[in-house]
Amino acid sequence: MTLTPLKSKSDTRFLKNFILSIKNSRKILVFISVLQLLGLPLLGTIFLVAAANEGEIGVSVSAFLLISVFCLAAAVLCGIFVAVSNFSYLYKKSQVDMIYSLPIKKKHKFLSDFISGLSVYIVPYIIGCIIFNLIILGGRICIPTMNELFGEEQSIMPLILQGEFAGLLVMTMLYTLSVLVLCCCGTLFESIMNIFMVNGLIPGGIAVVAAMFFANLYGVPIFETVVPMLGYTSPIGAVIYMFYVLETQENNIYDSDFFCINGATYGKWVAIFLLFTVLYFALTMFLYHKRKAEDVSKPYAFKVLYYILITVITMAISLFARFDFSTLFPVIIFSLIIYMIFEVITNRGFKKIHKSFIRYGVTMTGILILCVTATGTHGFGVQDKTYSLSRVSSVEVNYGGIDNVMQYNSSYYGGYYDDYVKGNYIEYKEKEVIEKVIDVQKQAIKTYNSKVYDKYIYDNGILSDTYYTSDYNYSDYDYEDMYEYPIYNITFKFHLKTGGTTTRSYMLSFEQLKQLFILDSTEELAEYRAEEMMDNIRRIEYINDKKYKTSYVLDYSLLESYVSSHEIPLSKEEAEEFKECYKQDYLETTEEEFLTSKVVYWVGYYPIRECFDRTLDFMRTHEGYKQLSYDEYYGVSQSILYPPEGYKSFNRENITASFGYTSTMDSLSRSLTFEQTLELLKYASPYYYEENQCYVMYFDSSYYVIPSQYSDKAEKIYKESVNNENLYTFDQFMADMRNSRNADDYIEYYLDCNYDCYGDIQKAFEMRYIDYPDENLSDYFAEGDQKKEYLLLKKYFGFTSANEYMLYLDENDSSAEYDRQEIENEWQEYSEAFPQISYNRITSVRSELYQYQ
Amino acid sequence: MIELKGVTKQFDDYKVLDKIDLTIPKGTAFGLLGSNGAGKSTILRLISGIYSPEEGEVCTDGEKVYDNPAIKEKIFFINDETIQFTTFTLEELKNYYKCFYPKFSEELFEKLRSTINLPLKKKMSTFSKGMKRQAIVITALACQTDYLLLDEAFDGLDPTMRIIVKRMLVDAMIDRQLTTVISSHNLKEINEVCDRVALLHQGNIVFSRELDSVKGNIHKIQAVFRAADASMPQSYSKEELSGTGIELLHFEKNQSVYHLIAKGDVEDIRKKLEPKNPIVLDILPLSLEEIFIYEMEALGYDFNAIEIEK
Repeated sequence: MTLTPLKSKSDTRFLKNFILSIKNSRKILVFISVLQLLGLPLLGTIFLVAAANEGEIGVSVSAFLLISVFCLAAAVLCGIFVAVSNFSYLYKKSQVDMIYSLPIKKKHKFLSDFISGLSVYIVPYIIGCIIFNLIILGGRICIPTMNELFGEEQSIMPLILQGEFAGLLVMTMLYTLSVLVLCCCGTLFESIMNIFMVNGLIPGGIAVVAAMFFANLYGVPIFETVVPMLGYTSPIGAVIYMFYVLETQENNIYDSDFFCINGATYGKWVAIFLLFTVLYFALTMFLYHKRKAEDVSKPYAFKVLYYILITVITMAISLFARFDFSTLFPVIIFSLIIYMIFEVITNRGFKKIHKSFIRYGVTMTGILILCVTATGTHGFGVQDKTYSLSRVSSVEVNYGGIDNVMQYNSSYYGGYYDDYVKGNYIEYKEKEVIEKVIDVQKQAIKTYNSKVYDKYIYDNGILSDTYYTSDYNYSDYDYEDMYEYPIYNITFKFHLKTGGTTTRSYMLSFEQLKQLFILDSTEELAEYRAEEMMDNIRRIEYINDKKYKTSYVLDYSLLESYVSSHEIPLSKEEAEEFKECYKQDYLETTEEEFLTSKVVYWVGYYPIRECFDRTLDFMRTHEGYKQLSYDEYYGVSQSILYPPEGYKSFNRENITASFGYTSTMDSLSRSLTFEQTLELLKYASPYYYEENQCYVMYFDSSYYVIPSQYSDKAEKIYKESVNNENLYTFDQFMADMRNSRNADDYIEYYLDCNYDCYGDIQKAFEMRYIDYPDENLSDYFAEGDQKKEYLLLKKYFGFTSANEYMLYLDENDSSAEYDRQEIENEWQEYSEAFPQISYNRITSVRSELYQYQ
Repeated sequence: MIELKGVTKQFDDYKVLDKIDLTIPKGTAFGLLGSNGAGKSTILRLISGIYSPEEGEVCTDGEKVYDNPAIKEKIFFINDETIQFTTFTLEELKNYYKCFYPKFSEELFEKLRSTINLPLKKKMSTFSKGMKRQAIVITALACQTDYLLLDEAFDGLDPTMRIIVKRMLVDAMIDRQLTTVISSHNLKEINEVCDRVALLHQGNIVFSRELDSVKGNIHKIQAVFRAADASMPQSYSKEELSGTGIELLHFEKNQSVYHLIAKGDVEDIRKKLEPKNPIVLDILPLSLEEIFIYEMEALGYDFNAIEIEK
């Protein structure tokens, strides 16, 4: 007899047990394989059919789709079944003697059983994925429409591959957790019950703990913190997290060529998810080793699992009392009943029931104490925690710049205050910036803890953030000091030197927000703004959905509303140069200049200020540049002038800002003529802030501030203008309509939603849409009937009969002479040309018309 | 050799074995006797490495058994159940154990199988209880282990099959010095097969020695005493007879005839009873079953103590 080294004997037993285990699982393997074949491969086939039929699939194919999804889900759930089958000796008393007496080390027995079960479970899935990918690849070659989804244009193949790998990891964790539960339980009933409970209660438990101890903490985005935790720790949580990631733009890459989850986010998830899987595996192996043969047929071999589960369930029920203390007594009763039910089932009767009551008492008392402590300490200090400068390596802030703050004020954009500052996250590493951010964070927390604005606290529920209400409907008197009132929502992400990241979201007052203006002088923000500018001037042309040409056009306008603009075509090198000019100008602009330098042009959403020397020089010296003039914008916008006492920013007397909280007194406002508006536009600027009282002009849906040094000019015009509370009269409307070359705009907007008139309006558009010189209106139109009909429209619009028109003439100018027959003839022609419009009456001017000027 | 040194085994709060010491020499046929719940099966499971003791050591050939494949491949344990084999065919069962026991002999297996004519490819769920028992016994013997532990292994076998199986065991014991440890309530079989026995009661070893020594140590005595003179008592109580120095396990008097069960040397007992002037003194050997009953009775495990309701 030859002597065999012990180690190789162990390897042989390991291998033999592995093979035996696979052989014993033959039937399960076949079953799972069939399910997997009916899963992804069938799904791939359905995609092919759909692509071949250009998206149309019949009822029968839809049925197959359901089958495919069902089979895939069943195949995934088979992981539980495989674990239960492979480790049956952990709950079947009859097999204990046979298995435990075998001459094989426990460790090897466990590993060979574990790996054989995992192989049976995931190998069919891997094969299914390969077949699916081959089907898609073949489809791409054979079916052109497949390219739309899986080909070169906007392919979701990267996302599918990410999903397939994620599915593999999720299945591995599901299987591992199932084996872990089997090691803790001694009967089939407890094993199955706890496998499902554990899969639900890992994510549930995290959510419950978060809600119990960390909900409604100011600044702590509990949802964004909890969801990744769910994603890392459990299969169900991973699915929830993947959907969350797909919904959140910052976690996605949506390029013109492909769509997938951002690599850093996905990679981080894979790494941590694997780590937790390994931890579960290590725990399983440890418990398996510690487990005794005589534990079979006991409900629990390790009762810790049971106590954890029952505690989480009790805590979940207690959440009601956490958020509504009046429910404490019913919660105690209900949780006691549930607790006792579990105890009776686990103890198989009422044995030592008094101990169950004691356990419940201890559990509930512990939960209450922890809950009270958490509430009293603001989540065990989590809310008030700030990091020292030495611990932070960098900070990301979703601050988009001073321009961003000023931008969202107008009703042009609408939105709530909490959208005012948001931009993409930009990472800053300078110590000065980090220090400032930490300081602002401390101020925000201090404001909250001072409880000054407690009556405005609003929270959405268990897992949402707490924030100050930003409801527009509050009257001026409710917000005593809007300057100090926190309305600007900002998020900080602190990247710690230990590798962790802490996210906090606060509502800042304007005073606090101003301290972040130093970010505008950083390289990072300037680069970000310059990149966005570059995107703004880049044009991509597509032919047949394929990228055809990239060009650069510097499209600029005098007005933010971009009613009329002009273009400077640029080469790529010129575009880069422009970007650099803008970036340098941005970097060198001081805070004072951002707040007061006049905006001279708009390039997209980006204001170009007087102090942007390089940018303006670039524009002026390039071919195609044209100096625009406000003269062109006659009729585009009516303006209103407010005196200093008629316009208040932030409820403060000594501040004038074109953004933020404003209140106006319309009784003090003055309507300006176009000429008056032009005069003030020489000095006024949107995107302005000054700590003085100034005149303010509302023009082009924005507030234009006339700097205090020009107040005398504004005052003069104010005194000359008419005090007219009725901002826009019928007569003014009719006069403007007849004078404007865009009469059909007035017509269209007045008749908005009147579908019967659309035909007439279309006709009016066609009549107007001719290239006309900048001369007399009467020469604008082509010769012939079309011209005459359009003139009749402008003359008779708003009236429903010739008599009505003649009455109007009489009322407005009793001395005017007109030919009655001529009017009646013209009316006949007008009503034949525009039958619907001529039927509609104008009885008053809609105030909304004002904004369409 | 199998050694249990100071072994304690507990299941939750219940102590099954309490610091027991037991030695099973190599090559012996060792019988484990005891009342129900005495700990016999527990001892077998400790020896086969299924259980680990809370205290003490369980060693085979000088090495601990628990989680030690090198030692466990020398031991085969047959328990009193057969349900775990129902999903196998005999061939699958053979192949299963063959993977783990390197000394498995196909020839021996085939020889034993053909002797008792068990089908190879039929599912064992179709076998009778006895056939299942036979199947595992021949598999165990074919593994050619050094130690074979049997827990109620003959249960379910017909008388002829019992003889055949016993013969197989004896052959193996002779051929390769197989050490057999048998736990059974069938004391007749223990008597036939074993050369050493141990008696357990409530987790303790009452005795452990050679069977002949056990039998030679307990005797049934039938005696009639007659007073030699008026000074001598007409009859004796149990205490009076125990006072002679005899260890009495059982005392019964039927008119003038005394039925005693006593422990000790025969000649010694005779000498101690002589002064009582016995006119009849028959010392008879006991069967193992009788020894078991009377030993248990002395320990309080007495069938007379259990009243059956009529």
